[in-house]
Amino acid sequence: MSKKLIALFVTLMMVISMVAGCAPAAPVEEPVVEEPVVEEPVAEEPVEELVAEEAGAYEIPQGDWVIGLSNSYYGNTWRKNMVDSFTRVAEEAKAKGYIKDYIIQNGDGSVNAQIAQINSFILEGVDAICINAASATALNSVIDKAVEAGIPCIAFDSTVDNANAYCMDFDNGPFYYRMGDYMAKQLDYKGNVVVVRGVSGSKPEQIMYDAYMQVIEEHPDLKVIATVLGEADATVTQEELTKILPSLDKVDMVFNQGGDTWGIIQAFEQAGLEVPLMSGDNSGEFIKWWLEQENYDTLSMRCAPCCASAAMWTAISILNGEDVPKMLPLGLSVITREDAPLYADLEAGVIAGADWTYEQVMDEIIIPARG
Amino acid sequence: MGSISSVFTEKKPLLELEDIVKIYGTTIANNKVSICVNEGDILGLVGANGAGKSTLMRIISGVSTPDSGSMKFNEEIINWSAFSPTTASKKGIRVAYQELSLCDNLRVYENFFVEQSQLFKGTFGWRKKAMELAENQLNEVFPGNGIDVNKELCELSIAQQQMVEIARAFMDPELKLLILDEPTSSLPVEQTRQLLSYIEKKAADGVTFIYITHRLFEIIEVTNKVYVMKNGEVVTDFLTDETNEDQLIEVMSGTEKVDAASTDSDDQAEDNRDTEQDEIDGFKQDTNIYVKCRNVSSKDGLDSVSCEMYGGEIIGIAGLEGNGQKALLHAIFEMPRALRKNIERSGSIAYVTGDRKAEGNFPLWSIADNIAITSLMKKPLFAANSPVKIVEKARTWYDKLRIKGESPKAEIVSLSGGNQQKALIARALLSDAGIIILDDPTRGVDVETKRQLYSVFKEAAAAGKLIIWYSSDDSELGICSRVMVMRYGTIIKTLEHEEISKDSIIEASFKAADHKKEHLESNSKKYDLTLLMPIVSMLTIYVACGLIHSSTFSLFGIELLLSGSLPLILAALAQTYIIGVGHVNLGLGNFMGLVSVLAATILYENTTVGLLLILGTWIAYGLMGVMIRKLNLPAVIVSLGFSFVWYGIAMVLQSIPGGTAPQWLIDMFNNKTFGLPNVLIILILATILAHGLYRSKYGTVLRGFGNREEAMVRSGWNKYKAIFSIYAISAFFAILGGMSFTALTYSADASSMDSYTLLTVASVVLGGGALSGGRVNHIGTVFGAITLSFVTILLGFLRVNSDYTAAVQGLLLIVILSLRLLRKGQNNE
Amino acid sequence: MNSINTFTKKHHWVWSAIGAAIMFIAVSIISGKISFSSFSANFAIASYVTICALGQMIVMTTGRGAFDLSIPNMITLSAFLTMGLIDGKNQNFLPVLLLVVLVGTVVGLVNSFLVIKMRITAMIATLAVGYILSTGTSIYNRTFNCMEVCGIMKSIVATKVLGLPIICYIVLLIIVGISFMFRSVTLGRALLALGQNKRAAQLAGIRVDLVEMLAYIMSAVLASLCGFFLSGRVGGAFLGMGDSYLMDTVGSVVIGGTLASGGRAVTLGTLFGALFLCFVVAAMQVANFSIGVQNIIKGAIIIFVLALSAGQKEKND
Repeated sequence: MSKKLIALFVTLMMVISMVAGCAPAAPVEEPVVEEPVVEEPVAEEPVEELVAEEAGAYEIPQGDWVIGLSNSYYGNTWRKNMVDSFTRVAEEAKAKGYIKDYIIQNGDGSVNAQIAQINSFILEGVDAICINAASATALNSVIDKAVEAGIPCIAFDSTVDNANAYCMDFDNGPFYYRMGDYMAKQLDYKGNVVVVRGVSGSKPEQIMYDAYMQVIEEHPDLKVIATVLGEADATVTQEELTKILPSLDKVDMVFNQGGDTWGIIQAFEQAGLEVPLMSGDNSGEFIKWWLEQENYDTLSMRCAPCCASAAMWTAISILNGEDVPKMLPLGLSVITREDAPLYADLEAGVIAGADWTYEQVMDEIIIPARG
Repeated sequence: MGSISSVFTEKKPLLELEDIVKIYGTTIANNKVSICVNEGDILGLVGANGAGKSTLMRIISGVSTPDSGSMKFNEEIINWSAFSPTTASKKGIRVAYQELSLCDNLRVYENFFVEQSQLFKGTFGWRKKAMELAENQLNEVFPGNGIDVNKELCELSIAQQQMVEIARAFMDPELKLLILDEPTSSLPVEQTRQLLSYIEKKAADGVTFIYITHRLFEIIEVTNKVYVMKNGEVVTDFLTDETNEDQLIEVMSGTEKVDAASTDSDDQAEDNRDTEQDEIDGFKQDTNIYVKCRNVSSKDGLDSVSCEMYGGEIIGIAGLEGNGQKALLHAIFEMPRALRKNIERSGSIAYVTGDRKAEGNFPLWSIADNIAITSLMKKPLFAANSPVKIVEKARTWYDKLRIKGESPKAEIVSLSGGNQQKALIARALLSDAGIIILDDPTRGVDVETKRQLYSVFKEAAAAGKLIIWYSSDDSELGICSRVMVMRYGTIIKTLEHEEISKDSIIEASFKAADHKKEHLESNSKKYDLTLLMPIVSMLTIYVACGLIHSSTFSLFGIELLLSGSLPLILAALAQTYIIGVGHVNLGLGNFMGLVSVLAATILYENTTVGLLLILGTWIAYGLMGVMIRKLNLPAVIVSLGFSFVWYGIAMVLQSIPGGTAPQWLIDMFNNKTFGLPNVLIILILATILAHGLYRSKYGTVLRGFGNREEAMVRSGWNKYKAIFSIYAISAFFAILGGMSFTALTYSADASSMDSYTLLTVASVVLGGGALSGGRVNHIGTVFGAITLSFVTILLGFLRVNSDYTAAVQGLLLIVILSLRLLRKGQNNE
Repeated sequence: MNSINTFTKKHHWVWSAIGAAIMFIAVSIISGKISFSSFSANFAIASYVTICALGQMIVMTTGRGAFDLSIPNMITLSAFLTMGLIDGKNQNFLPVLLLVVLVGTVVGLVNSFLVIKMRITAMIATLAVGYILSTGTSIYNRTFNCMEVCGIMKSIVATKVLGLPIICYIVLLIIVGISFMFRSVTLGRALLALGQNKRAAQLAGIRVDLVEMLAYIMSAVLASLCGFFLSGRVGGAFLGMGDSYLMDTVGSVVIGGTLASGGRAVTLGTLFGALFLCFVVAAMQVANFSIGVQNIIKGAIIIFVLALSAGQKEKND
């Protein structure tokens, strides 16, 4: 008899907690980190300006739009920065009446979770979906369905191979070729290289990797002695590197993609080895460390996570009928050693970059892409 | 009287056994037994416990091989090395077992089918035929039985199950010899009568019977010949007409009136030369230690038992096996909550089992460890003990009981049966328990050891302990202060010390008022609610989604949702088969990932090669199952290992996501047919196929394998073929699922399907499946899978953080399983 | 010959030790150098696997096909809690350590409640609990942003004594403790008895429910500790951190000689099993095998070892 009572009690507790858990939670946490109010560097980066109310020649009509963000993975700091950036501008747009609401859904990295997210957006009838894809190809079918239902899809950062979607691609190829070349040049194009790859399955990852490989191919004295899957995450990278460092010969440089710099630093320091040259990633922790090094000549570059804000504004412009081409290339922000001190105050966990404004998106992304 | 005596003197001998000898260890179970049974005979076989009847039947039915002797059946000399249960049944020898050999997850008529599948040809309509056959057969033997042949066996009462078992045994059209071992033990009066008259009827048709029972009046009523066995030998045979119950009892017990002293044969330990030497003056009672029972009744066979036992006594429990003796011992030892008011117990207690292998030994341990364990348990759980001291303490008893082994540190399995028993007794004695329960400890133990054990028991009693001793050997209870003879779950006679003799015990055992129910109980209708929960949960979530956004209810919405969850559903169907046979496939997700990659790479390039490779994976999957069964490996771990292999191969083929799905594959899943989305059609077809296959003729056999492999093997089915079939069918759905993934995403990603694996297990369980016992439900699984995948959608609609998805799925699992426990509890109490 | 046989029968860890040694030699050959630092680094890595593998071993020892599928998610959650709550400050080290143990205890209690009282099969029960833990971690992850490892943790993970980082000694201590438990402590003996034959254990007077509960608690606490120290090694916590450890724990335990059917726990063997797997992976990485090939080999080894042990069992029966 009491066994039944226990079971009944447990069941009740479970049901209660289930119901409680389903109570709508606050959509997004307040961003923990401060936005760096700092002058932006080098050419391709937008200069940060005060977001004036009616600055520029663009008037954005009031709208009833609901915009969804389907983010495939929330597990690392870049993604967190990215979602925070989207949230900030979406809140602003909502406050100003440009959109009615926005929904953010974060997945667990798996394709089926993201397909379910997009499906649910379609069923809800959102007006536009911004997508940071879990896979360049796996979402094709569901994107087609969305577009069929009249919902434009704007893929950014990790984009998709689907002609029906708007793609905001970072022009990673040339940038990372330059990166690899810069490092290799420091060592006369000779030495042992460890390649640290990024988020498996993402298109930009493949492009960055190919760019690095091109450098390797052009210089026969560069030898790849190990390839590691760092998933653009410092801790994953540290774990993987720690496993193999003891068995490797001397590492002269690391061809990495960003998000992993802290992990690379930790791994080498823990192993008692000198930290070789690597690609900086515009993160607060890397820059701080960089500033403490003598004779560490490299570049720091990253796709700024605030590209999400650009995606949001692009969605609004599409919905408002602007002529927006399908391919919308973005540039990377590059920080050199001379510029680095400007970012000395960046906190750990923050990536250099500022939210885009509508004007900047139109002027620097959409209009140039038209032709 | 009343048996149909055979008028023919020229009867053909059907079964002839000559000088059959079978020895187990030091016990001679059959000592030169010779039997002759003619066609049409109904031979009764009687004897007290341990007389050798079961051994003989095992030999006749092909389960055991005798050490020497010959058997001639139907004029054919039996070749022992080629004689097995399967060959025996082919020759027409069938046994209706006391331990049922039915599969309780199958329906009644399905149980009939698996035994006699050759009678049912053709894919369709066999079911109706089988039901008719089952019903007819049951009515043949037990008219008016009212058993619904469409019910699952587990829903029937024990009596009804026994009727099925018996009726089934009769069904073989080639039946020549039917052995019935205690067939009426659970049958009510009416059904017993029906069985007896049916036996007579069949015997007139030429079927031969061997009828074993303790119910002597049944012997008198139906048999025409009786063999009496004692101590492994046939001591007499009678023509039934020329004997009666009393005479039979006399023969079984032996004609001499004995007191606690010896009986005639050597190989039964007769305690009591020793007793005469260490005579104890009566039994001193120690009232600090006692067990008092007042009207103890229980579901496992006790019916109002009342008794009082005190320290210093040796209480014997006797009577024919299976009459509640073990239940009484268990009740006293375990003191279940329901009986706390009826049983009073004082003093620490220890249990010594006679079933050493099943519930006594710790087979990986040494003798010392086995001896020491109970006394160790008296220490607090976190106390440290010196291993050296343990061996020391064990050694004292090792020596005292003169255990014949290499050393106390030797493995317990190296000891003979008798010495193992000594070790178990040492365990109880070392723990210094006040009450020691002995559960038939002298079974299979040699004479010398038995004698030693008796003195140990006496010493223990003399030291003030209460010994409660159940023995199936009626001759050895002479040293007891009292013997309680049990029948039908209650104590029918208590013999005081002076009255104890083998004779008196046997007499008491047989002579008891017949305790049978008059009529069959009818079963209350129980509705099968297994499918209820997954359907309800799925509908709840679906409707909730629809209430929030009505687009869910549209065909478009359904297509959208299904295309997202189709791979999971197909995967879950695949897993259902595996779980149905008691395994789990933890590599299912990665296997599907491999197929998906093959579809997007090689299949795209070259259809033929692609299909061939996929066929290869199909076979590999099937062989994995055979490997697990043949080598008896844990399926979970093997499938985990294979998980890596599948993933590795997929990664070698395609290290980053990509590839292209063949257009025909894309069309297959993404188009519409007759206005309905293909995914929906495929889902329905797959579900029907999965469900239908499992209910087909061979599918029924496979379900039986999931429940009781030995029963199926006994009915003649090949277990490796069965396992391979299960895995092959599972592979079909897995392959379909993998290909669907490629079709729906237009590409492949080797790592994207791993997360499905655990969800499939959850789906099966949600759908009403159990991880063992062969009870799975494909339709339920589909609902379970849909439920799980809808959770994400619902949470999205509710603007709940998608992080909560996993938790909701986990809680869902727990809630549904808890509810199931609740319902089971209600059904059982 | 006979004495070798009896020795190996009594000390089941010998085979896995030999295996680990062979693999170490293989690594050295492939990389072209025998380096103690390579050995010590791999030992360190294996230590983390061993901590949670020991927990899995204890649960598997209770028999009847029990597995703890909640270990990976327990590791991840614990790592997050550790990083987040210590927040780089040394004075938080001890309190958080205690908290982590407490969390493990609670999770173990929940697991055992589901298995024993709710009579849910171990695999399903721990699976469900694992799901719930993963949600807890995801939620915590939203506000989580710490990259600072406190000083004490850093020294445990990195400071070397006699060439091995302190974590290795911690693991060795745990091994000694568990070994001792199975050899001499009442609880350990009861566990082994339960795993060999539950019915016999009940009849022998063992409180099987209590013992089983403690087994699940130990497993969860060990997984929790694993996550605790792991966060120090990798300098943070990331979602899915513990996922790869499921296969590693089962593999180490099985290779080490513990019976999957329960009743025999080869504690030291688990360490050698973990080492063996570590060296296998290192060898494959140094030989620059592709990821795919590495996985195939890893899986094949597990199956092969299982098949071998099945053969052994048949001989003994």
